[in-house]
Amino acid sequence: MSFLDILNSYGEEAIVFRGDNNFSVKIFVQPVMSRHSDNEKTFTRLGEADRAKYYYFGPPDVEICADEDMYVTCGEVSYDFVKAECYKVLGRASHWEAVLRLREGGDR
Amino acid sequence: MSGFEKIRQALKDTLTENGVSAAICEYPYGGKGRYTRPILTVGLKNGMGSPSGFKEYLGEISHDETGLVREIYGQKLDVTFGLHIYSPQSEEQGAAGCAKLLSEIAGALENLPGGLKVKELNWGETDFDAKLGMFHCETELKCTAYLYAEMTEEGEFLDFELKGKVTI
Repeated sequence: MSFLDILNSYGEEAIVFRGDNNFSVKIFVQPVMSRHSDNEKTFTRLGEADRAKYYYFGPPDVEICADEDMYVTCGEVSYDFVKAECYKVLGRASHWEAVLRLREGGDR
Repeated sequence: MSGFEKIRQALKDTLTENGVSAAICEYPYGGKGRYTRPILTVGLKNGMGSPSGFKEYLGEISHDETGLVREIYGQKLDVTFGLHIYSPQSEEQGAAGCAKLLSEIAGALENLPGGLKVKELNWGETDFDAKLGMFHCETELKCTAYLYAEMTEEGEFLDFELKGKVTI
C-alpha cells in the first residue's frame, strides 16, 4: 500500500490553491505540539497573531511550495505553506510534506 | 475613550485624511489581518503634562448666543507617538514600502490640528520582523498638544478640547 493509497482511503478532503488554479486533494493536517512559546498566540501591534504550526501530508502529484500565492483550505480553515519538501521512494515522488501556519483572514 | 486615546485617534485620523494610505491604532482587538500593502500603527510612547498660561488660567471666553462669559484654563502636554511602519515581504512592496509610507507621513504632518505642534520626527533603520513576517521601520513623533477647557459657574470643567479639532 502506497502513501497515496493511504491518503485516498483516510485523508481529509481539501483544496490547494496556487494563483488562479486550484486542486482537489486528500491530505492529513495535524497540529504540531511544541514546548516553545513561539508556537502560541501572541499580541502584536497589528492584532493578535496565531503562531501555531501544523503538519501537512499530501499527494505527490500536487507540487507545493512556500509561496504567497499558495495555500490550502481544509474544511473551513485555510493554511499558508511555511516549508515544503517532496519525499521520494525508489526515485519517484511518494508524497509531499510541509509545515503550515494558519492563513490570516482578509486581504488588506 | 480616554483623553490620551482621543489624541492618538486624532493623529491617526489626520494622517489617513491627508495622504497616509493605511493606518490603525496599535494593538487592535481581534486577529491580525493579512496585509498586502504597507500599514502604519499609531501608539503613545510617553508624555508629560505641564500647565499652560498663568497657573493654567488663559482668560475668558464669551458666548454671544447665550451671553455667558466663562473662564478658560489650559494644559500643555509633551507627547511622543510611536509610529511603526510595516511592509509585506512581497516583491511589489518589500522594504521600499516602509520608505514610501514614511514619506506619506512626513507630508501629512503639515495638516495636523492647530493644537498639535510637531517638534521632531525621528526614524530608525528598516529591519525584518520575523514574528510578523513583515519589514519594519520604527519612527517617533514628538509633539506638543495644547488643550483648553471652560469652567462652569459651579467650578466644574467642561470637556477638554485639543485646539483645532478634538473634544476630550
